[in-house]
Amino acid sequence: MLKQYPSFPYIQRVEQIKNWQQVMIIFVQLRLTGKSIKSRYIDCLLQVHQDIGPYSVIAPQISMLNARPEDNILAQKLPLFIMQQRIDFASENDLVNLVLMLTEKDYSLYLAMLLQVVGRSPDGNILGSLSNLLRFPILRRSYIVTN
Amino acid sequence: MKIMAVCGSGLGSSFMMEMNVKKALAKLGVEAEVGHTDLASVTLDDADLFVMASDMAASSSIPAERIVIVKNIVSIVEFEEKLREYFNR
Repeated sequence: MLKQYPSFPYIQRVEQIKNWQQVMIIFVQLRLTGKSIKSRYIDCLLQVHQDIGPYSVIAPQISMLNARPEDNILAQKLPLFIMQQRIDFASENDLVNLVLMLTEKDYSLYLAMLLQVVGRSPDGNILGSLSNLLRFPILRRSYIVTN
Repeated sequence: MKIMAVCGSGLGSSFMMEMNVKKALAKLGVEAEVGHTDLASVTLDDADLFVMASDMAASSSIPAERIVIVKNIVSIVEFEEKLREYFNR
């Protein structure tokens, strides 16, 4: 089990963002998230969104992309895509500022990491708790941070 | 009573919902068996009550009166409010 929430030492700026499809592609392709999942995962993400709608928008302003052990995970990562520009995901929880992705090779650890994220914000205010965790003002620019 | 949390894949989001349903039920003093599953495989016989996000509910064949819809699936407060409302019907 995870003993504590991961730290986020790696930061990468992101410039223009056009739409939610681009958000997913940038997120998966950027160097900081590289080697945690295989590239075909983005095809799966886009297909599921097309088939059943914006399932990933789990709360106001927040999208959570799950890369599970069976999705060819290569490493444990918890990258966060924090966007100054709000993006329309066609969800009732729009507009989205934060996309997080959990990747984990081991299913029990995957669930443990999931609970770490949820357990931090009993009122559902993940953005608020992240602001303290990251130790710098969020939403001033767009960037990806990861452990 | 059996309650089933439902999401697209039956793993991440529905697992979080299951945890939050259990926490909410504990606060409400209600005992129930709680599980989680995916939208494609869920059937009416799986539970007495189904909890899902509104996007899922729109695609589901479960009757509306047996669904509790949550907007923010990481908010225990919302789960407690919605389940209290359901049990007070």
